[in-house]
Amino acid sequence: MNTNTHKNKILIVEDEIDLRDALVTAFTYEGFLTLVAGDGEEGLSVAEAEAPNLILLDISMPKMNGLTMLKKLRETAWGKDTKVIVMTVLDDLSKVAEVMDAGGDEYVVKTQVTLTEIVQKVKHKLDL
Amino acid sequence: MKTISSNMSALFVSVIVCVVMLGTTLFFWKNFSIPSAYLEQSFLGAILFCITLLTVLIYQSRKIYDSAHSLARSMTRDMLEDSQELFPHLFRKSPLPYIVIDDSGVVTAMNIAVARLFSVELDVLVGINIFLFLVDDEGGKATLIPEYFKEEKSLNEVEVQIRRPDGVLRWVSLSLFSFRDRTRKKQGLLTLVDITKQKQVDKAKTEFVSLASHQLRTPISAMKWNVELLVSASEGTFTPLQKTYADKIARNIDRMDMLVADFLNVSKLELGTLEVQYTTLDLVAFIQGIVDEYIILAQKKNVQITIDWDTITKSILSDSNLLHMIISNVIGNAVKYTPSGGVVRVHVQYDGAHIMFVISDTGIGIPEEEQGMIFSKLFRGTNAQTEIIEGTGLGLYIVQEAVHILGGTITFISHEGRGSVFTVTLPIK
Repeated sequence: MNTNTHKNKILIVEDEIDLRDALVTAFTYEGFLTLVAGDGEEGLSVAEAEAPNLILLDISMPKMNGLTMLKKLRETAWGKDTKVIVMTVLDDLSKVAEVMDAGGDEYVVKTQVTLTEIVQKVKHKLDL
Repeated sequence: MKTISSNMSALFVSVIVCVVMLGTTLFFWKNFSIPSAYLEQSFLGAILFCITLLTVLIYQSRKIYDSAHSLARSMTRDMLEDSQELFPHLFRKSPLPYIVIDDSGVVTAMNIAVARLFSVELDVLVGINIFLFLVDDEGGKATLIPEYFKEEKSLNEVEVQIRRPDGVLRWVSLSLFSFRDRTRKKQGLLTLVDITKQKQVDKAKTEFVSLASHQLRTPISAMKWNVELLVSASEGTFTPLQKTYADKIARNIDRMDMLVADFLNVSKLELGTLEVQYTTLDLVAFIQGIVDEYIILAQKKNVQITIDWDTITKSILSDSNLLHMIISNVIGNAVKYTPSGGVVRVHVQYDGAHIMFVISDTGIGIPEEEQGMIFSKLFRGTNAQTEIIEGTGLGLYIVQEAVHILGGTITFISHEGRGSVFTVTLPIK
């Protein structure tokens, strides 16, 4: 496992390419070191290898969804304290509650938040 | 029947003859000077005749009674035979699955429809406890149903799953009532209507709405964020006109998102696919979370939002999706329709049996002549449209439907130009 010496390394786990690219552009512009994964399985392996400071995690993904990835992450010694902001499209608040119970730190509704606001939330969470 | 009629006629005639004879004799005795010997003989003759007639009458009455009794017995026997033939036939052949159970739930009789439902041969389930086939769910119905039967409480159209002997699951609508037979032994009559297809259709509708929600919102998010990047990347290089176009794109993306959210909510409400799920909610975090959704809009408009609590109840049992629909729409309207410098107050109150959300604003209010229509679908006040405030006209319709599903009420007071106060009252579970 890699030891992270950065303070602003984030992992974006999102299967929708256009959303993922928009997030990468916004965070890179703000000086973040951004990593990406297209599903929960890839997300777990990247998280283990790179030890990001924070994970932006989509809920609905193929192969392994955000909820499953989060549960597995919290079972590991290296991932149990990683900050996680969950991203959702607000079709089911009870699913969000389930994810938060599984260890999410905060959630954002993708259609109701701008990229600037997401960046601000991440900076706030990482005390940057 | 003919025998009884003729006997009744004979009885009637006999009585008339008797009365006439005696009456005539007495009449002549009183009114004419007839030698007493003749009268005595006539009267004696009349008496003898009446005695004879009375004897015949008694005999006829006996015959009438026997005939009537025999007829009644015959009719009763026929009816009994008919019902003994008809009702078992109805029970056996009824398209509705009927099961008779003893006081412990063991099947004592079942019909063909039950055999079809369970995919077994007729009478295979006799001797088996029917409650063993019930599949438990979150509500614990598999345990509750036998308890209700034990307490002789009726059940009507309870939706529950059964597991057939072949392992296949089916959804049924179960009705059960208990009764006592001639020996006062408790028994139960169970009907099970197969609703598996209906449940599948409902599930498909719910999944479609959920899929549509996710699929529609993903490109909306992509458009929203890429317009933001476009404007940000073009800062300084956009002409004012280009900036205006970009702002219009961004505004309409937000409008599209609102429409998608509202149409999907209406769709869920009208399809009846919303499953109310009560969970414990941290009221403070819940209300604060909704207020936070509108804080940026409020700040842009210089509208102040305050929350105050008149209750020590900080957690309630409710459906988070429905409650969010209600409170978010009402607070959202308050913020949207309040001009710059205004105030939106959220007051939460508890009276022991109800939780009340009172949301007041210093906004544009609703014209009095239009207040009767504000909960109608797609209705928007004329002043809201005049002032070009974004809205779909579905918000309050959704709020009212959601409030009704939760068993609550919504009322409002509004004055055009001064503001509105909406009160949502929900029963505490």
